[in-house]
Amino acid sequence: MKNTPKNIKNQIESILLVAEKPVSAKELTSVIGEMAANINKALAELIQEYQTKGIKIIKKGDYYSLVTAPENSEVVGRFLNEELRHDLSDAALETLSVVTYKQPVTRIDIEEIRGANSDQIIRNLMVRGLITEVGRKDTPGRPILYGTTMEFLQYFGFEGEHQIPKFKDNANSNIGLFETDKEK
Amino acid sequence: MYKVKIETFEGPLDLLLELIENEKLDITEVSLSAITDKYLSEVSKLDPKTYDVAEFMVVAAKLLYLKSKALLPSLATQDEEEEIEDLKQKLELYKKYRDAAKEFGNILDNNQRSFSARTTRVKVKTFVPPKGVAFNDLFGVFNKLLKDMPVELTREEVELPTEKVTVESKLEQLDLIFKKDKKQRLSKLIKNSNTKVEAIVTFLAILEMIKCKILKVSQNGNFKEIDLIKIR
Repeated sequence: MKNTPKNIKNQIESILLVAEKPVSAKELTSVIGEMAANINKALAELIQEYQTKGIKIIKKGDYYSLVTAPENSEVVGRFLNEELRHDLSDAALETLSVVTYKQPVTRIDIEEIRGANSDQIIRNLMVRGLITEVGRKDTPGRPILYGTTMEFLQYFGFEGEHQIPKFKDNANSNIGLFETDKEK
Repeated sequence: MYKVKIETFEGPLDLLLELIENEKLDITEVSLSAITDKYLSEVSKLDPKTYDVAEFMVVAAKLLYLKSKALLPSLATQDEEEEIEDLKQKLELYKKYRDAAKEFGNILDNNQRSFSARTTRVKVKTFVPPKGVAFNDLFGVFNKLLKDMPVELTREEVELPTEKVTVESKLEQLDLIFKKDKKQRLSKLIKNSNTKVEAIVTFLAILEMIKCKILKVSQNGNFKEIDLIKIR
């Protein structure tokens, strides 16, 4: 059966709804059996169509996820009985900002920038799902490389990486910000 | 809701930046030099149990270099100049990340979060045995698993020495010993130690006294006894 652009979009919606974790365009391409170009076009249109809805499709790298609209967080939070106020310490936010703008980044790099031990904070951010291991650096010891996650976007109510505030560094702005997930 | 601000520092960079920003200064050599005294007084208050004080001292040394250079410009050396430049750059970069972190905090204060269905879904794990598996098969597999389980490892308990001998206290003790008798034998002083740690501290204290020219050392040939003589 030949897929029309409309039922490609429908199929993507259905899959995103039941997906256990963020779904990549690559997975969608293979499971729907369509050309990558058509899938990407459908995804871009879907994101547009959801702009005004109570659910959104957010994108991180090549991965997509169906989430509630951030402007509804208060009611959804009440419904889920979730505490919305964040309790990240200054140190955690600082570490998170280093990971966000410098990813993929090793613990040593983070500590070099912060001038302080960050081991425990990194572990904490991992447990919260805001950062994750994205690979290993090809240097002696093969240290772990960290990057931010889809949950990080959700936690901040960002609908995509383009909504993350730009890093105020004239020399090398936004290095690595959009490259991380493609490597997976 | 109220916030309590406790004076804690993440590290030397955090402390430096805090001091510079409190004075509304830019990151320059002049401002670094200006806050040196405040930095040192904060560092002296740090509890070594919670802070890696050595890290703070490295930066303190650089600040003191700046101060001394202001007094004696001829002291400036290439290596140290580079280190100061390095410190300035690190501070500037750190400030950018810290500012970004503050913005992150502001965004989070808006409490605008997205939820996905999976964060709320309770996962029920079920087990469906493959076709043709009988009770005895499972029993056998389980027994095999039990057998292959690693033996529980027990940790050997070692008592840590609790007594604490400092070089300072040893110096005082040695001072009394040498007051009684100007000449002492090194081997005897070491032998009087109760523990290995104390022996090491005694040795360190003696080295310190030699360096300060309080003691003179003499030895009548290789592998002979070493004598220590108080000279002042």
